[in-house]
Amino acid sequence: MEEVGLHLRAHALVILPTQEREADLFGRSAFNRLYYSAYLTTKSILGEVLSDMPRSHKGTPEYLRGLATGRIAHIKRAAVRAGDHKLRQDCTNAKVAVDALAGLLEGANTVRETADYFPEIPVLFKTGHSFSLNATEVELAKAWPNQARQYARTILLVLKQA
Amino acid sequence: MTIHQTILDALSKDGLAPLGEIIPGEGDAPTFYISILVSRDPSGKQVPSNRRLHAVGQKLSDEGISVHFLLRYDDSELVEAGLRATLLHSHIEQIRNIFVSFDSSKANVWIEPKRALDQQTINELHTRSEEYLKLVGLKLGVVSLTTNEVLPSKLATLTIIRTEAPVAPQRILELLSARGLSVPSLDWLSRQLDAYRKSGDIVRLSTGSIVLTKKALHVLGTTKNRNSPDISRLLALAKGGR
Repeated sequence: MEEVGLHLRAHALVILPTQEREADLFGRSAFNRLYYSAYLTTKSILGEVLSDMPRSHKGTPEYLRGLATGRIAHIKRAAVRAGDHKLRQDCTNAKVAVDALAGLLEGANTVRETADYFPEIPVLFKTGHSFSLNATEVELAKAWPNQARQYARTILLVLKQA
Repeated sequence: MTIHQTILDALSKDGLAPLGEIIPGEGDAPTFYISILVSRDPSGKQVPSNRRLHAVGQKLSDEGISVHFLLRYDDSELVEAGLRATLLHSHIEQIRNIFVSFDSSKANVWIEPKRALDQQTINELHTRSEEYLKLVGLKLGVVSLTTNEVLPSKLATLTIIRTEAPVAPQRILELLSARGLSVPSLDWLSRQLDAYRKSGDIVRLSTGSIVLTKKALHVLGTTKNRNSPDISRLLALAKGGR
């Protein structure tokens, strides 16, 4: 899906000179696909150990934040008791990852909703090779799937231990 | 006055300006998402501070308007590009990619290594990241290295031993793998077990099988509910026909 998003972005830039309206639509779709790529990557990686991930886009960041005080905190306590220093540090990393991932999905989902439901907010094309939607550059959005993957892996690293 | 205007007023009263349009979330009483550009003062502190943002959020909440701030750090791209260049320059053989995330005055570094790295390399990456971030007025938060594979922790290994003891190292490897954990080799596992033996957590019997020491059993603890490890152990014993 990440590839689709990148393709849509490239296409928007190609047709911009002659088809401004269509370019806007392709641009919006690019943001949409890039969000879904990050969201589905998260579900796919964490789904290996979490069976109760919510289906809603709105509820997912909240659910993730709950992991920090729930399962991760539990594993951290066990790690400390068992003298597992590495796992203890990994738990700290996982808590940071939870916060970062929740923030990423929240921000990205807001852009996605802007793309899908607020057509009056246009995609702004910059001379050259880029565009933005509501102050979010597509170059920034391109990083969402990769970042989500790293964050999710950092969380999975801990959740798999118990 | 519309909700939108109320929010803008509350923000400007505190000297804040949203980045782009404010986007309402879903539902009848939606949360309004406000992007804010944040920068850093000379001492590295975030401006506007989280406390200030929280205060504005609280004021609006008192009026029945729920808002959520999405922070955008104005120097984030530069810092990340600089650190990426630094680390890829010195460790191109070992790192596939890095990126940086920010919270308040700390920067967290996320590294995708090409393979499992040794401790010395990991230490080098820590040190270089810390030095670079110091130059731009930031403190290092965490450095996280992850690949597809998840090595078993001491906790996971001891937990398996508790349920299955006495258990041969090869069997421990199989059980860890069945849990989705990645054991590089039996040799690797043996070295881990040696370390646990030295720390007084396990004992190797004359048969070669491994058991937990009383100390380890004690620190792992137990629970008095249906998920109790004592039950798991009883079931494991029964399965083993003992």
